[in-house]
Amino acid sequence: MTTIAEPPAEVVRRIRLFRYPGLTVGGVIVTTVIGATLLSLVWTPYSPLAMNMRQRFRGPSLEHVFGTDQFGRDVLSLLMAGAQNSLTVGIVAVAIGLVVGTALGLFAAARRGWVDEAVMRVCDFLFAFPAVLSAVMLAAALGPGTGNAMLAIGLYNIPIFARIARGAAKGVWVREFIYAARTAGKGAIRISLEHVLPNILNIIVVQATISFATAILAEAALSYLGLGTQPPAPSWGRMLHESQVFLSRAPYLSIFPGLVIVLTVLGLNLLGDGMRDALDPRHAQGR
Amino acid sequence: MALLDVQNLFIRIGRPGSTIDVVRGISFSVGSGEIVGILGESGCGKSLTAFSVLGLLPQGLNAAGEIKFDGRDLLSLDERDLCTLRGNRIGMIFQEPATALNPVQTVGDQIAEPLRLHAGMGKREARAEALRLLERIRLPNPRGALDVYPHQMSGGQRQRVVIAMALACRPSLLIADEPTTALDTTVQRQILDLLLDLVDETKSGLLLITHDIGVMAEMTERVLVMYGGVIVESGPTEKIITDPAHPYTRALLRAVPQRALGSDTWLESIPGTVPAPSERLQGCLFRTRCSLAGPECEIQPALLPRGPDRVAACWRLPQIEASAPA
Amino acid sequence: MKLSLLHRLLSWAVTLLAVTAIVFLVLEILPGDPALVLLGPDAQPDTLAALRLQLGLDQPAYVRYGAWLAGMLHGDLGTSYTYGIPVTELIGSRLKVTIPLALLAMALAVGLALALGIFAASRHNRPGDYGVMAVTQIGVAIPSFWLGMLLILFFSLTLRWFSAGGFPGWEAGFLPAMRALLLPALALAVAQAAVLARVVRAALLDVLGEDFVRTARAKGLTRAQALRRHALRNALIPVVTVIGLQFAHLLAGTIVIENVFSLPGLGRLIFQSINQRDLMVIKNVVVFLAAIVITVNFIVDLFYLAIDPRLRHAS
Repeated sequence: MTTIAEPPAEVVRRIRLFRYPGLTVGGVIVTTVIGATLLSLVWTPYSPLAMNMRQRFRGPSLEHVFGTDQFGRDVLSLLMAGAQNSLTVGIVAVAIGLVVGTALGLFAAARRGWVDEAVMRVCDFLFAFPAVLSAVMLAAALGPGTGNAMLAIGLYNIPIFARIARGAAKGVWVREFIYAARTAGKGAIRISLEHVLPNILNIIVVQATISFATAILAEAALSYLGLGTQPPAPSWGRMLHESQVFLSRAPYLSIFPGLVIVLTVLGLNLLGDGMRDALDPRHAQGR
Repeated sequence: MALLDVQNLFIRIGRPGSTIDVVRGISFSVGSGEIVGILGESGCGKSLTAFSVLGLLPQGLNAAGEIKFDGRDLLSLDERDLCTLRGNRIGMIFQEPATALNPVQTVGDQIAEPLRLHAGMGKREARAEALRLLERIRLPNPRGALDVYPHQMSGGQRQRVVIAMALACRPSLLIADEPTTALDTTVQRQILDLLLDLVDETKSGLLLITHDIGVMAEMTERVLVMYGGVIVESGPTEKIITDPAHPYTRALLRAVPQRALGSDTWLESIPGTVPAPSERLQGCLFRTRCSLAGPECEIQPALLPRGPDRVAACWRLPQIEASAPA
Repeated sequence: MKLSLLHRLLSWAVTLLAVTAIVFLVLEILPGDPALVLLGPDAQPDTLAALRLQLGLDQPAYVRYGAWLAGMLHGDLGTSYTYGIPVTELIGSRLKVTIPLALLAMALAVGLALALGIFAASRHNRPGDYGVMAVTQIGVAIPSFWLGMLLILFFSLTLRWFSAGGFPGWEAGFLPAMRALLLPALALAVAQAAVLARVVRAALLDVLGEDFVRTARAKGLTRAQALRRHALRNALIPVVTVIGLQFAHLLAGTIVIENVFSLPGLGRLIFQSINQRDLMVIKNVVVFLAAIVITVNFIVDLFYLAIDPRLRHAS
């Protein structure tokens, strides 16, 4: 018989990190973005709102790493402050989708039959309204604003969470410990909350991460259209809208905000995919 | 020279740094018009042996040794040459007719495919030949079957289609992996009869893989009994049935009457289970379930001749022969 | 088959009706007074009253909803408040930009996705596969409007191969018009192609593990032939589903992209109508876009029947 010596723990850790490189890279990016956002609450290199007409259109330099805009504002400071807005919209929108969608999904899975059918029909229906379309409607009815953007993106996320929660919950409902809970006389709602929800939380968290990424993209698009964050609050999408006029004069004004969006979305997606792979290695092999 | 001649075949699951041998140095041959069976429980490596002949081992598995077909070593052929042999000179019949057929293609197209690929037939010619094949496998209403999808057929009919596909290019070697396991008993009968007739007609060699002693006894002329990736006994079917040598073969045969009495799980009558290859057990793998096992069984016994055309690998053979003939 | 077709047709009609109800609710009931929305908060009371009468707002909501639906059935969607021309005419002229744009983008996305997905699946767990997966991961993260700006920066402002926006109209000829749509379509297509390429790859890998692919290989088909002739069509079912869902995103994406490239399409129309508070246009265009989405999904359902004979013979 041959025995294989256990490799030292350090090596194991290194191998694991290497096995999920997306998780590591995504984690680092997301931590950096969140860190910069928190930092912007107390400190930015310059005031994101202070205009300085003498310092307009300065290209990237040591003084202004990402340059200055048409009002002489520091782009890095604007991006840091804009992150607050992007992350807030993302968190609220995902929270709306997560809470309502998961509740609907759990309900459908618990009740089955026509209730299940009805909930899924409603989800199909909601899918007919992409986030931008519902945002357009809400903006027309109630006027543009961050709140409507959050609501529109949240609505779009409801059917996504509902479907995922329903699918996962149905898998849990046929497990033995559910039968045990049912014979103990627990009701459907209590079982859903006490036994089903904890078992599908992994999947929900993964989806929340990925939905967060799409929410940031949607917020940027809405703000670009002027349907999201309103001036003077700094926002990545609106910075891009304002910079388009100066595309040939100051291309860096359009490049940096876009790169920040790409990086943030990429980080969140890598983190979400990486978590899914790490939580479910079988899934990872298939991919 | 034999049609198929396998020498010292190893099949490995290769993970960098550690490999596990699933099949460990087996040798056998199949002649033209001959029906040779490989008998064993699931997990003994018999299906992998079949796939290695076609060069279609699942990803991560590798074959080493020598597989000579018509004098050519298949293991040293490149993928392109293998493709010209598969479905052309070597036909394969699968276990599960429900999944072996493409659900979105008509039966006629699927049978015509190897004809167009290997025989260079045009669309109409291949269709006409497919019809002849469907007639030959005695499918009711063969003309109508051409344009039917697999899901519209019964299991037995599908298996006939799988056989027709394997036979399309008149291969000199047929490999059948548990061809009747997924079918009802009465349908099993018909498929086995069909196979026997076809082999008789075409004079191709047939390598039949099965765990069913009944099927083996009825169909094959020679049999290899596999256990844990090695051949433990081989010889003419009739002699092995009437006078098994290896304790494993004897246990299998003892289990047969119980099955006839209605018990499905006939293998349970041999205590224990097949050790997984990952356990890396040395010596005779059957010793964990063998009533005759002794200390010497921790060393792999060699296949030793036991009468004409027969070999068996067991340290206890002299003792078994001395006790009582089965 | 007839039964399932009827069932799907019915579900299509019901969904469409629900869309009109939601749009009516959000745009005519939720804001309180549509006349106030149209004229803005500074409107004079007598102008407001006159407009209310003109729009029939003195009638109860259900009558207005009914009248809207009835008009819809007759092809009468009312008159645009700002443009002063029938909304149907307005939509008709704008469609000539949006539909070709969306179709071109979809074609680009599907073509790119099939190429990348098949390439990745045929090189599963090898460098080519990892490369494609990394590229798609980045593709998903790029905002379409930013990509549009980069394309303008590179191809229009630097290389001067394309104009930076605008649309010459189909009167200018097919090629000049398509040329104006190429960059916007590409900007729209990249993210969708990235998503779809992953679906194509995953679906193919699923199917490649099936028994019938092994059967095909045993017939003597090479790996590539088995993939093309047997795996691809079976893998198409999840792919078509996603294409259907993506069409919704593409249409919504035109709202953004048409603004980046100043294209006179439906998306730009709806955006301008918001700024001009032209409710008549907004509600009809939203319904129209949603109707396209629902209809595309309905067509996708029919497509299944064409691809999968098992569904055709069921029920």
